[in-house]
Amino acid sequence: MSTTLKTEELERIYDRMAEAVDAAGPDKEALFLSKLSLVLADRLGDEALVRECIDICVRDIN
Amino acid sequence: MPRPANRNTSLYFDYPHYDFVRPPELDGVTVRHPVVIVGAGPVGLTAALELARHGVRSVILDDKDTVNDGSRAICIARHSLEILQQLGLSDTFTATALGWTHGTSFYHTEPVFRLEMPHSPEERFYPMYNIQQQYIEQYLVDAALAEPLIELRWLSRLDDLAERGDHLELFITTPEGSYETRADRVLAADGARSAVRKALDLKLRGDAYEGSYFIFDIRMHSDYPTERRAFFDPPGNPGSTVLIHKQPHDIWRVDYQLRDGEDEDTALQEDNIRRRVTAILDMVGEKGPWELEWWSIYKAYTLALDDYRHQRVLFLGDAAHLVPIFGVRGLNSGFADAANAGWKLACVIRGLAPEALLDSYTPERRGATLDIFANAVKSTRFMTPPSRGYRLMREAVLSLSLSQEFSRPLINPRQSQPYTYAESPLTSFPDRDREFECGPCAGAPLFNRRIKKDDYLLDHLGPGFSGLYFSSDAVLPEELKALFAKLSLGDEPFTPVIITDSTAGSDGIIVDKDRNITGAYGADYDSFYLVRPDRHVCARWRRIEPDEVLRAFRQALGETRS
Repeated sequence: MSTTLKTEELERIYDRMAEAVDAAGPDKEALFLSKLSLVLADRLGDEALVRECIDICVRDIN
Repeated sequence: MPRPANRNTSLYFDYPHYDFVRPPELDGVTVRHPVVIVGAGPVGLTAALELARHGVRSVILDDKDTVNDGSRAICIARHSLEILQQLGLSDTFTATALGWTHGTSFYHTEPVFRLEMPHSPEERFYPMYNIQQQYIEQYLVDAALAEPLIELRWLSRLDDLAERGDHLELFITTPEGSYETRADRVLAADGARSAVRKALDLKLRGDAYEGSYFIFDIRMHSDYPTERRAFFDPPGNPGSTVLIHKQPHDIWRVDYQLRDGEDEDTALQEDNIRRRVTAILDMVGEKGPWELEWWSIYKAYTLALDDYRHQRVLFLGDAAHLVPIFGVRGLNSGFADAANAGWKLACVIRGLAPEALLDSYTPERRGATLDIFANAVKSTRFMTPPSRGYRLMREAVLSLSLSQEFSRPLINPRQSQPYTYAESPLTSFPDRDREFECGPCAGAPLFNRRIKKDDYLLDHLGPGFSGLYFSSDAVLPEELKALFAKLSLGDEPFTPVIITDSTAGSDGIIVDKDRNITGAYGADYDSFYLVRPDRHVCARWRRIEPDEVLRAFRQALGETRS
């Protein structure tokens, strides 16, 4: 499944995420991202899709 | 030498002292006992009382001369109270124990999860009771001492045990010397460091978990109600977890996780304990004086024997399995082991069932342990996150749960639930079972329903097999009278529990005018539940089939597979 967001929508989320990570600060950025992952998973309501997203993000980290 | 008079001291509990009584074996008399139970803890005592309920004699060995010098369980689940009721002891327990139904989990100082355990006016017992293990053992010892079929041998330590074909030989050391004795059967209820397990060179297998928990009891007066309180990352123990339970007689149990890198020896120094207790009490707003009663340290394990039966030996409780405390499954599963082993062994010893009946002990009770592990591993990972990733995700769940409902179930401590023996070799007629829309399924324990004041469905079960028969007119057909006569266990008659919605009930018939029981059990006229001595359903029929009932009864005794 690919994104259904328009490029300008994705850009606005990109900016909002950057600001939210900055606002959380280095001590809390991981907590913020973890909370976001759980909320998005809950809203998606599709375990297989969420696991697929996790696999995508695990890729090419190191 | 066994430990001499254990000088336990307590602010509130007078430890009894039981005398050593010289057994005939010490004077050269050869004795062969039908059952020797190793360990006079709650599990061994319950097994002895269950055997005695079915007329079977037993000897209990214990190396101490008082109660409770080991673990300190405090939570007894409803299912365990129902076992104790069958032993005639539930009133003794509920007179002291504190019943409770709910709990609260906090993140920092804010509530994030409300634990509501299933409870209703249909239940005789609360879902959970808090009572100190000292009282649990005291009440069971008192009952055992009053039971002529039970012989308690204190200050008697099992040194070794040898298999001798048709019996076992036990080597015992006492203050007056050592002796050998014989037993047809041994029940090993001698705890986590079981001497029986060691003698047979059997090993527990499984996992140990990260994180040490410090645990203490204090005496303090507080009017806070009885419930489970769990604090994650609280101000009184930052970066860690605290659990608080109320016990009878102004005793409070507190468990807290030691922080990473915290040295156990340092933490156990008394002034450090006092400092931590003060911080925790400040956090929960307790201002009054308190005294330290007892403290200890533990880790979480999921360990079990591969087989709970070894020839003529059955393993019960901690001797068979160690489970994490979160969810209060240790002692509660031990009670269920004792009830399960007790009735089966009694049937075999009385010649009413073949040896094969004992083959069902491992699948049923180890099955229960594995089910506990599956739940406990989840709650243990939450209580003591094993890695940075688990810690982070827990914090995310706690933080989200301050405002979001969807993440709160992940905080649920998954409290002890009775296990359903659906896959047991003793459980039969699965197709008949599927014809029901509700009610306890084949393998599950019966649940209670209120009939009238101080009168509940489970009060009506007998010592042997029982059956719930739903009748249109409260008159038992001749065919069923003949069937029920065949379901006795020796001198223990079958107990029919006849339930009718007819207004013309006669003596001994449960009148269920509003169809409260009938509805909850998914029953119709002529529906039937066949129930084992431990209250689990063997099989059930929407319309009773006498030939099948007889086959189900025989299968529940280990005779045949249908």
